[in-house]
Amino acid sequence: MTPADHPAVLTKDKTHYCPGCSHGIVERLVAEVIEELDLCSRTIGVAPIGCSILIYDHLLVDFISALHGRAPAVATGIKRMRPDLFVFTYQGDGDIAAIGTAELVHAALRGENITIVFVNNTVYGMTGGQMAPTTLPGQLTTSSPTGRDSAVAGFAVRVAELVSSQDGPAYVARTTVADPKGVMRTKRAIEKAFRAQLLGLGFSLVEVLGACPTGLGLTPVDACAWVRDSMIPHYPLGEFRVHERLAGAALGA
Amino acid sequence: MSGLEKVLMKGNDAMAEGAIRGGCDAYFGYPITPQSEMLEYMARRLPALGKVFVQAESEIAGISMVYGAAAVGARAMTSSSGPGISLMQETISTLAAAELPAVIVNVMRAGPGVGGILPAQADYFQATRGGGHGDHHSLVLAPWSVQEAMDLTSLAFDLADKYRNPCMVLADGLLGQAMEPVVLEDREVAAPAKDWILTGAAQGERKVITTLRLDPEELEALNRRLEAKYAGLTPQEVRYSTHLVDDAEYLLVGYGTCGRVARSAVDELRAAGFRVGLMRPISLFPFPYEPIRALASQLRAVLVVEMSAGQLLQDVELAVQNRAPVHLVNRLGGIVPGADEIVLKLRELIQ
Amino acid sequence: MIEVDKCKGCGLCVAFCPKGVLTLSEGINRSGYHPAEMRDDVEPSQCTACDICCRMCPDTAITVRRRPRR
Repeated sequence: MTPADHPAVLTKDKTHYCPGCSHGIVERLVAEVIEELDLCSRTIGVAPIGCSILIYDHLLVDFISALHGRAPAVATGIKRMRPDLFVFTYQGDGDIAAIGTAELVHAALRGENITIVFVNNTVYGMTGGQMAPTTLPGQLTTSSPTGRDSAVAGFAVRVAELVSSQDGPAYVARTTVADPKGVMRTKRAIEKAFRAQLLGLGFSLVEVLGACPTGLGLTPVDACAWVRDSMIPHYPLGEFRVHERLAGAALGA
Repeated sequence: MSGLEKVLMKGNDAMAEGAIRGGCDAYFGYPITPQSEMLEYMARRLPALGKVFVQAESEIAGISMVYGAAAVGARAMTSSSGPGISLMQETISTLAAAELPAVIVNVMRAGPGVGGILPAQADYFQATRGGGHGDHHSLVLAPWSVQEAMDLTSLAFDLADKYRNPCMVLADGLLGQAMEPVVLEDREVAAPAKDWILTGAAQGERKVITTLRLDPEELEALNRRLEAKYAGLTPQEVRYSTHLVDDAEYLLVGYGTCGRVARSAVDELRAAGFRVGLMRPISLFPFPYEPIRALASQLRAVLVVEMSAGQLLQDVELAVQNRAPVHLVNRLGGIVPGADEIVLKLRELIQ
Repeated sequence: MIEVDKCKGCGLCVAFCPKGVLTLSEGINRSGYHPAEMRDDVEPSQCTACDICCRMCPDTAITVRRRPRR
């Protein structure tokens, strides 16, 4: 299947996302992988609070909306009752790394057989561009108007490293959709993460570095450049945990 | 355990056993005194029955797991005490808004704050007024004995499924810890068909469970539907018991452990020649306003007995509507009132 | 092939096209965005159908059709 084919589980309607928002790319990749792995009729998605709260209008599979940060726990409740279904969450910075950190870490620690797609764009988009736990030191946001001062506002959290340092995860990777190669690697990572669940290997997470042009106050093209130039040095790309049964090449190509 | 058997059981264990006999598919919980035995009981029993048990990382995670499990059709439950129930409120509100069934057991301890571990009834407002944000309610059942605690926990699953709503069992630390003989009966579990659950369908047949309704008219419509649901609980889900009320001039009102103590007080006062009766609410939501109102005109006074600071009192005042004076005798901080204190108070009132 | 009214004029396809065959139009679509389009000063055959544009498009507004070689 080429990117030229419109995935059947992806809406043909316009989305509410800002121009250039990385959510549009990531959701499409998730839709493509759901189709390619023949999961259309056995998937339940768990939606976050954040810009992607309306993901259930874009991805046309069964969905439940979770409260802020609770998606991994909601997914746990679903997967424990229906281990035969494919269960994934789609979450942003606040959901994963602020209010939901306990749920994230404990789902990983339990080796919960769910998959998390985490879009890291360093800001809280929906509420107007405030600082996130993933905001870089010195970065300007609406709640760090003079730049994030680590002395009082702390440091940026590396979720992929945090989670992969524990036993439980079967697959953890960090990729980016800020350039075409990154988009291809992100798709392969998502596919590997999905396979980890399908093989019953345990917890899987893909952290995708993306652009929030509105939150960053940049054009989409410049926002993608910022992701590559400023985010990647702090958030190195790669696979941090790969279960031995996940056959196949590394993401790079 | 099967057939008809009588055993000595601790309240917490009995409620857990009642849940299992009520068809509980999944328990997600977190330890907190005075109900941790319920978690432990479920940890021992559920896996052997092929059911789901997870000790969650917090009460918030536990109730979130209940939410997910309910969405795919499970009879799911959690249990906690006041501080944990406080944490769960956002999700309880959401369960009600999404019209999902769930059973939540609160074994009350004294607050506010971290408080103590001894029994109290001060989560009454939290339980009966919804507890979370927005207009929502849980059905609330209040047992007064270990037997009733077991039976009402079984019933809670039926009510939760029938009304697609959270149903709370409101016990207290004394009940949770007390050991009393219970009769264990095999129960026929008849869970209704659920065509509204998530099954993994795609596109044309898929469903979305969400409580986001940005359109105000849509949201009002949801609220009106819930309003009607809650109003419709009366009279069929109103539950209460009475003791010697027919000729009563004075009425004691108390639930749970206070109902037990008040009953002893009634018997003591009757022996001393006073015409006293007891009204014991069993359903706290829906509350037995009408049965109390019907008694009010014959009464010289009503005495509310509670382990809280005038919470049950308000509902009794609403019921009585000034037809008789309403008074309060209460203990706080984890202290259980004695029958003698109630007798003393009523005798003072009679003077 | 670009769905004009789906495009939000984000410019990612324009920036990432290795052949530079795309641009944002002067006109606007129904949402007020300047949608992407093929440049009128390049041959359509300059497009190698590499699919990068549709890969980068957040709105699935682009479909790449390969014309059969003559």
